Amino acid sequence: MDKLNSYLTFKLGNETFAANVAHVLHILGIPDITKMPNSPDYLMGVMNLRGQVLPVIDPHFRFKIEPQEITKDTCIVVIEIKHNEENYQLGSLVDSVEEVIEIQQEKILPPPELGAQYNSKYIEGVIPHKEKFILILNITQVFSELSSSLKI
Amino acid sequence: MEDIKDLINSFLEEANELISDLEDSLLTLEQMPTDKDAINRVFRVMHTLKGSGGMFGFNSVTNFTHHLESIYFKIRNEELELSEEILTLTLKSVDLIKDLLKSTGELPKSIQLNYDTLVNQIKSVSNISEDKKPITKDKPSLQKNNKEKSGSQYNTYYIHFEPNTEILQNGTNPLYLIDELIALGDSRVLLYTENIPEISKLQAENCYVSWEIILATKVEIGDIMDVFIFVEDDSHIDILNLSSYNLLQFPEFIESIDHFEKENLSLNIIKLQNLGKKLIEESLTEEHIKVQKEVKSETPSEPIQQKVQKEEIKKKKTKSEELNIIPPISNSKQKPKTSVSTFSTIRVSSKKIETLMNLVSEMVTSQAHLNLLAENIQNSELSEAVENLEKLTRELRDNAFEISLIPIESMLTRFRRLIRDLSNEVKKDITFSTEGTDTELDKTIIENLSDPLMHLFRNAIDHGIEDKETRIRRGKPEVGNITLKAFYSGTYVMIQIIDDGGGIDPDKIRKKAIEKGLISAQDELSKNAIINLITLPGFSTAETVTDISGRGVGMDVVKKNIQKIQGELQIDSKLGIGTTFTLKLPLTLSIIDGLIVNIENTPYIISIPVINKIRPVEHSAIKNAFNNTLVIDNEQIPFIYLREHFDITSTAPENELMIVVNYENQHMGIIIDQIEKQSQVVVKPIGKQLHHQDIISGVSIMGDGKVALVLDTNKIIHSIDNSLHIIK
Repeated sequence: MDKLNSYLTFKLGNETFAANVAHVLHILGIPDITKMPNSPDYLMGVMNLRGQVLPVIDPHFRFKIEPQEITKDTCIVVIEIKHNEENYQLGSLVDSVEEVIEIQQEKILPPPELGAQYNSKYIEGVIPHKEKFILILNITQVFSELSSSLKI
Repeated sequence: MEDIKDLINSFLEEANELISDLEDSLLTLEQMPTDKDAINRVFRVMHTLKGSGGMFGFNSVTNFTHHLESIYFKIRNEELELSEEILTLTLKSVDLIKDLLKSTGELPKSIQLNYDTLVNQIKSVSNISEDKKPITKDKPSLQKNNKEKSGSQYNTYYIHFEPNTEILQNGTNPLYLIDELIALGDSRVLLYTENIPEISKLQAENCYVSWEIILATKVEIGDIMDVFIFVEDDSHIDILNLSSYNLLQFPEFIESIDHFEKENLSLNIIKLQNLGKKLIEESLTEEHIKVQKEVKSETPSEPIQQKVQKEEIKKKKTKSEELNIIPPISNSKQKPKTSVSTFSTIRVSSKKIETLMNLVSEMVTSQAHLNLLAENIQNSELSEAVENLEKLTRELRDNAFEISLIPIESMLTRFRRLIRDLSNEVKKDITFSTEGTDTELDKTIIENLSDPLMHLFRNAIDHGIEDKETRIRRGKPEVGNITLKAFYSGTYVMIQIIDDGGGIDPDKIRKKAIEKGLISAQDELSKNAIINLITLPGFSTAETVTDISGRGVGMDVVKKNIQKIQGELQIDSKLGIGTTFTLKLPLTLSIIDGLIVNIENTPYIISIPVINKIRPVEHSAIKNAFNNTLVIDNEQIPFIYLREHFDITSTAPENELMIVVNYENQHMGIIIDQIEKQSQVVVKPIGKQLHHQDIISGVSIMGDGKVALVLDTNKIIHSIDNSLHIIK
């Protein structure tokens, strides 16, 4: 997928993350989610997106962040990833979406050694923004692992 | 470049169809070696393969088919008899052609070797004929060939062929077509050049000439038409039957044609016809009275009466307007068996149909949503409009689903072939008969059926049908029979594979099952239950493992595959008389009658046909049930408590419902919270990411936009009941 210079920032708990907008298809309020029986905790269930049935994933645990209460800010970000030559779409729960920022590739810092909290393979880079650091997620890595682990 | 690839793909698709057509005709010929239609079909297919193969660079196919075609050319002209040897050779050749189609460039060695051997064999076969059979066609005689002897006779046709001026630009050389016509029998060809413009206006790439041909031949009018098959759309072609005799044997007739040629006039058909009539009458009275008397008594007055048959392809030609026009006859001569090819059809890629189906499915879903809204708004005008729309949606849905159905016949050719080859291999004489092969099924189901059916046929041939000696000893007909019978039964299609072989011996199965530890010696099983043991994994009773079947992976895979397409397998067998495998299949996978039920606010769908009955049960009864069994209507019914199975921890409602479903000839209960409604639902396959959910066979979007999960009751019971898989 071609990378663009725009990033969608969103929050999981108190942490701000960014996703390249090339992966982002829609941002939705919380729809009806049908729970799947006997499914892992991070699979919230399935939802209907205009006739398409997509799995909804809760990524909190991947970053060891406590799942939050659902508020009016809680959203589903529908993302598309390419895995094993196939395109997958899925919904990811986020606690809130913030903004879309533009940044030149040169200004993105390499992923720092972050210690144990985040596995660096999930982080593509860091954006210094308003005296804060926003972590750019390697969306493909994060979600292809989650969705492929669904295939037992 | 892409375009060429597409073309090649569509050629390959067409070639595969042609080949399957070819195999079909060959197998018909095996039954009836003199079936003219089948021979013609074989010839036509080869011809087309040869032609279009060359066009797309499959030169090996073209060269090879050319050799093969020459044999059938001789058979068609009755210079060669169709023997078993030739048929076997042809079938082998068909296999080779399939291989050839897979490789465009250099041939792999093994294929090349095969190619060379087959070509040699073909050559030797087609040469034998030349030495053996003297050909008797050089001496013209007025004998009207005996109909029953060969089914063919001389006819004299008038053919007018005026190619489109652009024919040369399409890469067709009309002279080849003329050559091909001449090869069909005796002929006179007249060329008309008056349309050629003066040199200044002449376009070198255009064709300005036309032909008139008088052809006396034994082949039928349809075969003449075939010559023009690639040009008929944009050329002017008239074919009409002048006489049912060979008029070209009369010098007067030829003279008359020559006269027209000299004067550079176009042929006057009426004159020629009358002349022919006169000539025949004269010759009949003069010398052949005796001979013809016999013929006449067979077909009173018919042969002399001029039959004008006109095949009009484009528009009427003025000079032929005065003739009686008999509607095209090319189709009517074909047997109903080949009716498939006479339907007016268009070819649509299955992808487009899939898209259509998806759209229709979404439309049905939106319709349900609309219905829901209209119900809430309670406006009579709106309700009426919605109702009308719903009717249309339903019709559209039914029609669209019908489009995706294909007849069972379409997959039978390969089985005919399989049965023929296998029965030769095991040296058993087996006939294969079919019934109801026009029964239609969803394409996906048909695709998934071929493996299980293949296996059932293999089993029937290898284990089912006894060898000749045994059959004679048992007082059965020497030749075994396998029948495939298909018919509709409600919303299901039943397919039965019936063999008249030895049947399944329950004692043997029982012994084997005990040996393998599948049942214990104390287990009391009904005969039917014992027979069904053969569908358990790892069960194979063949004493010797053969090439054909009996590797121990057998019936369980068959059963699993059939269950995958929501089907059921039932086995009935009578020892010494035969075995019947019955496959019960849904018409289509994508739409089912479903009962929408609710467990902990999650909607689930259970397919209605598997439901036997529904009974209310109290939660306390479930809690206290011994061994998960409840007595319902005086019957002990084991049940599955889905809340427990799904690890739902919240409190259950006090009154729950038991859905009693049919499971392998017995009843099983499934406990749910409550029923929402009954509805036709469009089942979508479950997303790629959710494959592990095998107890959920699909999802469906409800009218309110919620996603409901389609429960695969067989899977649920199976997953819980794994240790209990023996039927009590």
